[in-house]
Amino acid sequence: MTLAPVDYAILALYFAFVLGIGWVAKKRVATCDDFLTSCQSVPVWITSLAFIAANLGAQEVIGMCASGAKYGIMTAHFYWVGAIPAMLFVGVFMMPFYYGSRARSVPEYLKLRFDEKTRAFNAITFAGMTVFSSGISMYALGLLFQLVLGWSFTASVLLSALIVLVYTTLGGLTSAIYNEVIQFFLIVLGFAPLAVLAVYRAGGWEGMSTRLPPVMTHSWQYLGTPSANPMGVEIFGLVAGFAFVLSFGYWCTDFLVVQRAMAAESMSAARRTPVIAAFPKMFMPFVVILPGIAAMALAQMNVGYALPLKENGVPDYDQALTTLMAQFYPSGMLGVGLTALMASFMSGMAGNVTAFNTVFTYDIYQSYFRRKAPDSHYLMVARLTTVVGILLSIATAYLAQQYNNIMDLLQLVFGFVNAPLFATFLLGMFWRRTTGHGAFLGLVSGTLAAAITHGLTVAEGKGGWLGSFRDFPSTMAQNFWIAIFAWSTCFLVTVLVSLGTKPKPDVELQNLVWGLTKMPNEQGVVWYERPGTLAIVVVVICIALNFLFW
Amino acid sequence: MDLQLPTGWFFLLLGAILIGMGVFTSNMAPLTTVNVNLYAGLLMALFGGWMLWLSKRAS
Repeated sequence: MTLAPVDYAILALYFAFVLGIGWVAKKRVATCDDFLTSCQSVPVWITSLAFIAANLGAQEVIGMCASGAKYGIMTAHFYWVGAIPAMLFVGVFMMPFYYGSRARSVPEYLKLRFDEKTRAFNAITFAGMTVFSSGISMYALGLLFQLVLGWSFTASVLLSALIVLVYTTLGGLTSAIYNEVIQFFLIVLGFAPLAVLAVYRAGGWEGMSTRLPPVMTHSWQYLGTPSANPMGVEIFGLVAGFAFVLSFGYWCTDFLVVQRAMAAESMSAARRTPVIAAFPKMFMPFVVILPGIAAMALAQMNVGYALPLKENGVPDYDQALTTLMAQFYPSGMLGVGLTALMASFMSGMAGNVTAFNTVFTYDIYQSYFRRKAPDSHYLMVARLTTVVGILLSIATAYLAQQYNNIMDLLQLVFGFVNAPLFATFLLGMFWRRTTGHGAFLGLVSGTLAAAITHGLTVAEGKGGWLGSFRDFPSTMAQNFWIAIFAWSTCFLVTVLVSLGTKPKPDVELQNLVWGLTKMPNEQGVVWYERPGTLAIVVVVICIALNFLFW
Repeated sequence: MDLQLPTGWFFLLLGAILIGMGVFTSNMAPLTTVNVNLYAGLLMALFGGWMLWLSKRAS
């Protein structure tokens, strides 16, 4: 794929705008809170779009298109089942505690609700995860641009990191959130024409259905047994492991996304943020997954399109998006498509970096290194942490390039940590008897349960380092079951230990727990400003989409 | 900061570049006969204009 000067001009125009927004946002930064939390002043339409954009990294865009090509419309479960219910839950039920507690971060909420050790466990693992996630994403982008455009890995990684560094260091969270909105529009407007063109060329949904195996065009019909679908999963694993544990664990507890809602201008806006975000989110499969399915149909049509093969002869699904762009976009739109790809990477990276600097500054530095320093000191630390976070991400990208297995291992370990988290939050927010000791031991034992389940099961040659008690048809199915065991263990241990230890008095749990938190009064509020009513609308549309592609 | 303003200008400029490419060049992609630059440019310019209109109305 070769770019023309106009494509480079579009990329430069985009860079100029994101840097300009960083420059303007800098004028609003006077205190550390301005920099790290935006002082809860961002309008709801902006926080809503930033809420999904922070999760819309390059790996998501490329990966979802690749999964569309590999698994078909079943990939939409990552949205309709694996995101929407959890987004509605965090908005309607959990946000009153996050926002109402006045905590500046998710680990800080854990400190207020439980104790210091639970906060430390979450803060340290989260800080590590964000840096490594950002680095892995950077590695993936550098590799893709090297493969598709022949750009140097170092040049792609350093240029994109430098742009993110400049605008996040200048304007902090406000700059990141504002840019995420432009990035979101660019991703949608940059890839939606590709979806339309590719699906139209492949004969529309009817044409694709006749050319592809039925399992590619049905989302639920082939989930009865793992062997009936290419994902190797069945309904229970999908619903319990993925839709409940992993999805709720991510959308409801990961500070990366929750931070966007917490930056909203009021409690009502914070609650509506994930709910409003759910509207565009449930239609994203049509932008990022449909092109992948269309690619497989086009490959059957002898029109001159084929997916490149890997060295082992297997189709390289990761190239579905870029090869389609090369076939359907002339110079001009090609520049927009690549800029959108760069934007998706930058939004993901900025999301990670702004979450990392907040957690490090407030939950690690201010809590354990220097408790009472002037605000200007923390602002300086926050800016330095942004730089350090990006440098660590770059180092991780190079580490991944050298030792690919290390990245697999790290992702696995982080999976172990994330899986039980939702049990801790669920009990912490809705059962006032939950204690700090219970939460901490629950988290640790849930993490261990995840590791042991991985050690006792095998999928695609992975796991089984303690023995092989169960073979899974895919690593995805294995991950779902690891999540189920980790969550159940965490839940059980937290309950048992809590019953044997002394809970906090009610007076210390005000605005932190269900029953001791005054829920917002929605009387007299118009329906489209009520989170609950909006959530019902989302549920109805989402169910309709599932039936449509049953 | 009114985000609609920079968003509007960005997409208006992007749309103008694409419309120019669509009208003045004969660049076509291998698998389509549609003038992708022209139609996508119009879409982006419209979106940019709408953002600017919203910004003006709010101010």
